[in-house]
Amino acid sequence: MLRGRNLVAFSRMAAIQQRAICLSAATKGSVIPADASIDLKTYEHDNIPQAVKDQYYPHLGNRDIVGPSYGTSYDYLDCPDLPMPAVRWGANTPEVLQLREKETGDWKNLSLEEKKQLYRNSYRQTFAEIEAPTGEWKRILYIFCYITAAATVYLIYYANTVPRPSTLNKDHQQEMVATMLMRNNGPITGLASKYDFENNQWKK
Amino acid sequence: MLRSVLARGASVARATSRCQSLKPATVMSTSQAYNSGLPTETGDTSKDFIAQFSRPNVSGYDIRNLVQYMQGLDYVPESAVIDSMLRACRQVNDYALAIRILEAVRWKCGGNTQLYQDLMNGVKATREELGVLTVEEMGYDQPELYLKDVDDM
Repeated sequence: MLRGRNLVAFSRMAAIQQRAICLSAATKGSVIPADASIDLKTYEHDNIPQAVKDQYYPHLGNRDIVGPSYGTSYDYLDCPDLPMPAVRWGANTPEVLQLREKETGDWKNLSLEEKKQLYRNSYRQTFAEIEAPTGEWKRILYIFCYITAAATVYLIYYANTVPRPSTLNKDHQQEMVATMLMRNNGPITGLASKYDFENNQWKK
Repeated sequence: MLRSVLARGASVARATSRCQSLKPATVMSTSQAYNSGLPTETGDTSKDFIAQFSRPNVSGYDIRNLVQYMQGLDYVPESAVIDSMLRACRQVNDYALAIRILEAVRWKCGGNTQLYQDLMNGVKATREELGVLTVEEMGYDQPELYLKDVDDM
């Protein structure tokens, strides 16, 4: 859900803006063919000709723009922080339009199926479906287990095959201490200061 | 020596008095710079929202814009606001929008089911008058369909 939420701050500022889509001849006129019968003017959101929609919002097809944009274009996004997508999910097919016509009457005459269909025409998922657990944690857990198991197998192999360094050998460490004492290593506060050379033993 | 001290002192005094005289003006211009044209200007958020939703020429775009804004506030609408929202949806003939708003309110209540129940009881009369079902009556408190995440395709 993170991908939806990082849009939030951005879109809150953007959503406050624009009431209508402005097509200005100065900025966008060049992309329209000279013979196109498209009016260069400002349209209300609910009153955009299909030709204009195909020209500027080709990804929408025959869908209504009903709300504020999340960013720079009119897209659909299901996110509880932003409950109102800018476009309807369903395209305006004859069945959808017929049901929408019925919607203008008393809502008590609509059956539960029709109400659900109306909802699905406008929105892809309910909040419960957006928030439903995905089971993703299981995949993360088994990847973690695989990595841990692989590391354990490698550790066992390493411990049994690769020789340990000689500095971990007790005899070698004894020799090192003896050598340091012979060199009088650290006579004031170091190792040699702890050793009584006259009686050939560690100081008490 | 004394004259230069006096001259400096006078200029400091002048600057201080100018700063003091600027202070209130600066504060006023700041409060006006953040005027976004949306509710919460009079300090009574609910009243402002009700006024916005009850406008005779309210459009679906306005409702969506306001609900989107409301969802970002640290605010749960009270029954009167939900009432005005449902009536605005009836005005623009959008049943799906009404259900979506109730879902948004339910989400804003979070784990506080008591608050949600109280709000729904508060708008019971309006819901029955308009024929709007609750989220539970629609069956939308539980996931109805499984839809593949677009990021997993």
